Amino acid sequence: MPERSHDELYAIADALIADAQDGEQVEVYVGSVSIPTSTSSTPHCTR
Amino acid sequence: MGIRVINDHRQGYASVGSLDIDLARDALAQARSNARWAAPDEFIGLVDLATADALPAAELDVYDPAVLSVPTADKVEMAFKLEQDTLARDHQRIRGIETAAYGDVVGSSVIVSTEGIRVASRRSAASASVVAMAGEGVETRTGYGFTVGRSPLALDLSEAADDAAERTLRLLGAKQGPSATLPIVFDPLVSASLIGLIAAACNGEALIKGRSMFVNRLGEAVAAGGVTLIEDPTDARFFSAGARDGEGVVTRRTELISEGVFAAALNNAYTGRRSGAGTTGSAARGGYGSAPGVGARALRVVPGNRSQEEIIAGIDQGLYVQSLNGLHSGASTVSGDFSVGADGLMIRDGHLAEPVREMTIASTLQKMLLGISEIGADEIWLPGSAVGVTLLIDSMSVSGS
Repeated sequence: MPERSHDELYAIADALIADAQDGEQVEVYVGSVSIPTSTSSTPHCTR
Repeated sequence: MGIRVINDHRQGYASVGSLDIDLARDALAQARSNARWAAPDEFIGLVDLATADALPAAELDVYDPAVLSVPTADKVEMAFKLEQDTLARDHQRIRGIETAAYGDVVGSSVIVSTEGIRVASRRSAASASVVAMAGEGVETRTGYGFTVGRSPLALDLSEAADDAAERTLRLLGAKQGPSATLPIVFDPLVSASLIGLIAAACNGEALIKGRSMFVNRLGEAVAAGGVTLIEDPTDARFFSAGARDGEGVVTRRTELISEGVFAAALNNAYTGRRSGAGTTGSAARGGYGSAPGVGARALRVVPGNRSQEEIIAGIDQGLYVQSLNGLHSGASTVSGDFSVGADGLMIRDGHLAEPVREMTIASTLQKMLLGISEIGADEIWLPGSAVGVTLLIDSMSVSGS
């Protein structure tokens, strides 16, 4: 499954930055990972 | 996502494991509340844009779309092939495969701040690994091999199978060797862990807290003259390479140890301000659950000119260490104490000889650094934070039978 695009992640971060109050510093880190493929032959399984 | 709020030099942090905007706003309110109750610290503050962009950002190609386009069925087949390839290396002595695995992931992130930071990154990684079981008589030993790349197309299954078979088979019949004081040759996979320990002592956060053997030693000789240790996340050969750190600051090449002299610490914005040295673009995030700390991600000791075979050829009697046991409990980057279990092979008359196990090698990290008498030319690029390379330390205490 593809990870989220940078545009999608920026949209979330920008919305929070817009909520910053006067005099405060706000930093938003938004990360997304693909659902990792993990396979093992023993026991034989995939997810 | 992780949200940091700073108000009047008080920092609050909160995180949420969702991209839902309502939950994100709840996390923002929580971070704001946490800041209200935090202790003030004059050095706390988000990095400004001028500092973050003080150097040109490296252009790195660390994403390969093939990681997502290769069908899952093909990836499953790679794990089966690795299993069969490893068994085929020695049908008689390799009795089974504990596990043969394939894995991959694509990570994408952005950092945005009220101070003008607005950066994004994307990376991919794929790996395959195998743990072989080999035996003769009642003895069974295990050994692993692996291959890593940006996508499954970059993996070398044959190399992983060769490594697992060799590392397992050559330790069959190992016995505890005699106690002695010997030169020690560290396998590249082992040295990568040691290099990570040394970098931990160069961590600005540890230095500020007094939890490093290098406290107040900047500018002093801490290693043999031939040792130069570099942190360089801009080198795309590192799987952890990246143009920006966990605060959005441009990464750069930093010599931590320069020809044996402790030359620089790794810093994020906070430790850089507090120490007066400035950030080195070394803010590290362990994930979204906590505020960025300081960490190395791309360590490399400048290699020498000779192969591992050539280095071993110059040793009459010594110990080749293939694996260490209990490294994190037996080695302290604060005191430097080092007493760790080791398996490997004796070196006799310039050649690898009989295998040994359950040995204990002891010294201090300070003495070990000063005792590095040769660095191999055999760099191995690993999925962790350090490049592996053969290291020869001229003398360590070895305890066995």
